[in-house]
Amino acid sequence: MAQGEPMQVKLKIRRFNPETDKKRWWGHYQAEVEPTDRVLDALHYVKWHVDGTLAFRRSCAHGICGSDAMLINGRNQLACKVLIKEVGRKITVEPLLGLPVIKDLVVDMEPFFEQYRAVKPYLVNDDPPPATERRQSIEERERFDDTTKCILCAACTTSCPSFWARSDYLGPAAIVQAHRFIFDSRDQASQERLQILAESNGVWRCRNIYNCTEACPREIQVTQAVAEVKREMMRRRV
Amino acid sequence: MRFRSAGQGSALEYYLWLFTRLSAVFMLFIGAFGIIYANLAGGRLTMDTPTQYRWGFFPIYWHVQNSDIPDVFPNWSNSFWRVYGMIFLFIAAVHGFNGLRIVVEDYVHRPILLLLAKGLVFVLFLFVVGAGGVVIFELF
Repeated sequence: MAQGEPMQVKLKIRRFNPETDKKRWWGHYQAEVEPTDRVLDALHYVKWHVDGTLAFRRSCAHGICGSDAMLINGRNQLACKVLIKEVGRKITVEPLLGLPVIKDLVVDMEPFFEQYRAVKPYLVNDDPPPATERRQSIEERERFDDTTKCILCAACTTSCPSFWARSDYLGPAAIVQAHRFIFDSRDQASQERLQILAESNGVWRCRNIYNCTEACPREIQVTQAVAEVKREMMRRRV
Repeated sequence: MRFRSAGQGSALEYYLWLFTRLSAVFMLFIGAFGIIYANLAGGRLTMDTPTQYRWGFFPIYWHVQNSDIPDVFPNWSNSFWRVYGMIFLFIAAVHGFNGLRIVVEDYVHRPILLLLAKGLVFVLFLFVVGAGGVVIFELF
C-alpha cells in the first residue's frame, strides 16, 4: 500500500435494525480510502456515500472519548485509532460482544455503566476540605497512574470471556476504575470497594485470560490491575 | 439486570481461589518428591519414564511392583506412601473439581440446572476420592 494513494477496501459490516430485521446480517461495501486513513474514515465513507442507514457511535474521533470501540477484524479496537494500513483491504466490523445491540454497531452501554457505578468510581473523603488542595506525593500518585488512563470504551470488558459467560460479572473496566480509587491515598472508601469486589460477581471471576490487556486502546495493564486488587484483598483480609 | 448488591460476598470464593493457587504449587512439589524419591530408592535404573511419572502423580505401590523392580527399599506399600498418595489425590480432586464448579457456574445460568450440575460435580468428586481411597488402601 503506497502512502497517500487512494485505494479500495472491502468492508463486511454486521447489520441489525430492530424495526425491520429479525436476525443480524452481513452488509458488504466498498470504500475509497487512503492507507493512512482510519477504519472510522471507511465507516464514514459507507455512511455518507453508500448507505446512510448504517449506525455507529463516534464523538471526538481522536481516541479520547472511547465511543467508537468495536470488533474490527476480530479484535476490540477504537475505529478512530486503527489505520487502514494496519488492517488490510478486507475489514470485518462487528458490534462489541456481550452487550445488547441497539442498531448495527451501536450497543446498549447501560449494563456496562451500571457495573461501573457499582464500584463507587469517585473520590470519597469525609474529612473537612483543607484550605488548599488534598496533597499527595509523587510516589502516592504513581501508585494508580496506569488506571487513570481508562476512557470507559468497554473494549476490555466486552473482550472478556468471563463477561460473555455471565453478564453479572463486574468486568475488567469496573475493576480498573475501582483500582484507580482503592490505591488513591486521599480516598477513604477503599475497604468498601474491596468488599464489593469480593462478591461472587467480583474479581474472583477473573481467570487471567489477558484479553482485556490486549484490547485496551490506552495500553493499561488491566490484568495486572486486577491482580493488584486481589493482592490488596489478601493483604487486608477482605 | 442480574447485578447483585453489596453484602452478598462470600469468603469461600476467596479461600478457594487461594487454595487453587497454593495447591497447584504444592502438587508440583509433591509430584517431584515422589519422582525424586523413587529414583533415589532404586528406580533410577529399573523404572522406565512412564512408570516414574505414574508413581510421581499417583503414588500407589502397584506402579512400582508392576515395573519389575527386584529389591527396592523401602517397601512401597507402607503407610507413609498410602497416606501420601491419599493426600495428593484429595488435593488434586478438590483443585480439579473446584475448577469444574467454576466452569459450571460460568456457563449454566438456569438455577435448577445449576443446582443439578453442581450436585453432579460434587458426586463425581466424592466418587473419585472414594474410588481412589479404595485403590490406595486396598479396601476390596
